[in-house]
Amino acid sequence: MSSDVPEPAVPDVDQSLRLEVAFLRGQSDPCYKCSTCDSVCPVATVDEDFPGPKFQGPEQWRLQRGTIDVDASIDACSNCLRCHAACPEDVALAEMHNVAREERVADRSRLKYLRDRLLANYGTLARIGSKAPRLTNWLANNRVLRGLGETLLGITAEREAPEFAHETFREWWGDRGGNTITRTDKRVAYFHGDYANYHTPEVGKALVQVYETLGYEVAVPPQRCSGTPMFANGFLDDAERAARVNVRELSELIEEGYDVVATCTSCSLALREEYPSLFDIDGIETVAEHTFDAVEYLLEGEELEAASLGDEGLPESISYHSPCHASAQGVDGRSIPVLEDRADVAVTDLGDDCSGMSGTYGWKAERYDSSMAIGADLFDEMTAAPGERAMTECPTCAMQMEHGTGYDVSHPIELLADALVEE
Amino acid sequence: MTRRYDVVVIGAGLAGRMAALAAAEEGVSVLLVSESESTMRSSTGLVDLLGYMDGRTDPIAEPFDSIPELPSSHPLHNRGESAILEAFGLFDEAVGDGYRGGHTDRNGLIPTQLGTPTPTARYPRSFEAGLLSRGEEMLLLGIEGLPGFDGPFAARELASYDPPFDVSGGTIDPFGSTLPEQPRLRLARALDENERWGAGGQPNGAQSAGSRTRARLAAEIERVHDGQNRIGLPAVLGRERTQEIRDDLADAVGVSIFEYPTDPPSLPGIRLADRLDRALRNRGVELRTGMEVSGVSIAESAIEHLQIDGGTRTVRGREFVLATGGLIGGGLVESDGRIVEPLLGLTVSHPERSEWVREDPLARQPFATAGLRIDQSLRPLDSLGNSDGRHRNSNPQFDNLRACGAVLGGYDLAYEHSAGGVAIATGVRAGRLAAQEGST
Repeated sequence: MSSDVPEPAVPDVDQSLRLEVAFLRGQSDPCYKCSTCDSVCPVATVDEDFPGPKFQGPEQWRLQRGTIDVDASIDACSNCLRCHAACPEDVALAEMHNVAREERVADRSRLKYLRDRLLANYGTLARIGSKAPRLTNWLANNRVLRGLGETLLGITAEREAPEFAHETFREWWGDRGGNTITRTDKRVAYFHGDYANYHTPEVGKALVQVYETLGYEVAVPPQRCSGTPMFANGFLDDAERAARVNVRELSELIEEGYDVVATCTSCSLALREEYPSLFDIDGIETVAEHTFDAVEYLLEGEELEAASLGDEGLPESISYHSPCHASAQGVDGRSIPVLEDRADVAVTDLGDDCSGMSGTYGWKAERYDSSMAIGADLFDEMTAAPGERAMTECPTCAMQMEHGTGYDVSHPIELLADALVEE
Repeated sequence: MTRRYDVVVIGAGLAGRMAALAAAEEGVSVLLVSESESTMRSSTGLVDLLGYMDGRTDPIAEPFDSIPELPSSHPLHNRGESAILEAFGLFDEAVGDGYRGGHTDRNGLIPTQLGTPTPTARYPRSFEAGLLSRGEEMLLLGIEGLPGFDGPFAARELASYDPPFDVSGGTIDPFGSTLPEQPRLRLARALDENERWGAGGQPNGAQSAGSRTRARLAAEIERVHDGQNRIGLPAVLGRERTQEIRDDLADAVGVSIFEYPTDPPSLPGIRLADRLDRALRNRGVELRTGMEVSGVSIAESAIEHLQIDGGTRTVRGREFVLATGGLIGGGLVESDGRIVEPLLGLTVSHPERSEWVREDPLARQPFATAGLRIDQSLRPLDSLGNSDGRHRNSNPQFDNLRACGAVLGGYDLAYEHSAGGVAIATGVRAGRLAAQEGST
């Protein structure tokens, strides 16, 4: 090289960042711009400032050199992960978005940072709130406070805060003395997540009822949030701390012959797919391989097949919404054939519209209109379907469906619990 | 054990979806699994049968006259006219009123976004008024700010083919600098909902001030319209209410409005996928994405079940249909100078490595004919047989596996414009045979 050619500038970055950037840059290579990702993105069709996942993923990442410099529009990504699931070339869009969001955290205003960190670490707030559920419920739905929440923090006042159960799932589990069935050959560890614990303990109770009726030993290990809201808001360090607890607790049980089952499909997706792609923790692959959706797991075994099901207490018809994070794993709607063929419930599959909630996305004041615009098609489908009950696996989809239509929305495991006839 | 489906179809492109539909018609339980979205959403929405053949420069007008001339290794060669027509009938039924072309056995000619006439057997209803055979004067419009559409360019190109009518081109600018970041998808939705294009310039729901999106578009079309009987626009006229939008525009301007196909993101491709998904759901097909098939479990010469995600999950079936696509879809991949079928390790027929490509990039490329060889009931064969396409000494690799669509070899879908025809004809047959076996 002749001396008058300037040396290329090498950015001063640490080696692990350099490797991560290099990895994701390489991940953008298979993209041939088929735009399937854009065509399934719910945000791009309603938000005119949103350039879509093809730009935010491979088009930007193939230009990163040593440091990360990404467009601010990633803040408007709802983390539905439809792009990631849809990509015919398996481009690591989820990881690209996760790392991009983390990079953008520092650029947020102080209040947005605070708001996003609060939403991402909702489980911590919920733990405090659940100590005095009646007071928390009153405070959370006080009009003045909701207005303040919107003005100060940017948390929309349009939504009613999810009600805290007077008894959390874990309190119920502790009071009943834990598992009633003990056996070593059929055992599951229940990952309830924060939502079922604090807000819908009936989902957790239904899971316990179903699994125990079918003869499984159930364990409820100590656990933290799966990390999904943290990924969605760019707080990967917070997510890793939570993941370390979860991987430690769950892998211990897996060694004792347990499989992990989750009722929330964002939780199961995090444990199965996001953890191994983002973190390097002992046992993380084992946890991923042994984690299942609660209904999917029942269909892999023989017990549900052999059980008797009835239609008592079940609705004649119900409509079903497939959450993005469930279809990304191929576990959506697994209960439908069981309910239709064996419990005489007419299930209307509402198709593949996104609910627009995406966990914390729909809570942000500046995203509320987009969230509701995305959900509009689903609300229409629900209204057109027979009956006024719906079911879905995802707790925040359920929140959005109730908000948009006023329907009661259940988890499929609750219907299975009602359908199972104890012998 | 997990539920055993009568028929499991792997791959949800056109071939896989048609196989699943055909199987479901026979009244058996059908599961359609796919690792991701198929590339159907990025397709033009045109469904061809046979558009070009070796040794002929002009597009084919009568595909059924030419199919017997195809080499015997071609998947359409032995299908027979009535079987192909019947398979297309199932497609027509599934897509309903959204498609045209089923009234004739002849190909239609449609102008592409570059103005090139392209032959096709089925086309979206919204393309119909653009058929070159209609012979009426045509105005092709591009929309300022939507990259990839140049009306005057397309018109000049189309005129160079000497159609029996006048072609002119133009550009309209209904939205100025207010076009959204993701213009096609956002614009399609604004047209579907007929949102008000806000005072701030952007569509933001029905509540804001400003004229309706359809009216705004119609006014711009009227501005450049100069007496032509039909006007072509890029295919961005909604995802769900395309017909209604066209009617509104046609009423306002007083002429026929048609769409011409686009590169991705392609609204007609999305609409086609939407329609087929609806038909599948209506027939009780279970459609599951996010299922990466990582292996199979085999008992004697039959597939017992598919291993999903590294074997942590399983899918059990009596009969299986492989519809994983070709080199673009990932059903075939290149590996160390060979073209292989990565899922089951099936035998792939392909030319020698040194003969895969020709120097002229626009010439017919030999690698494109790579793919599986099959027997009469579409079961992939375990050896290649002789070069004349006969399969002496070859046997089905699995008793309960059939293959359809672009994973098949012996034809060049890109050159021939035969992807749709092969997908539909072989997909329907594979699905039907699998269902008949699977239910016995």
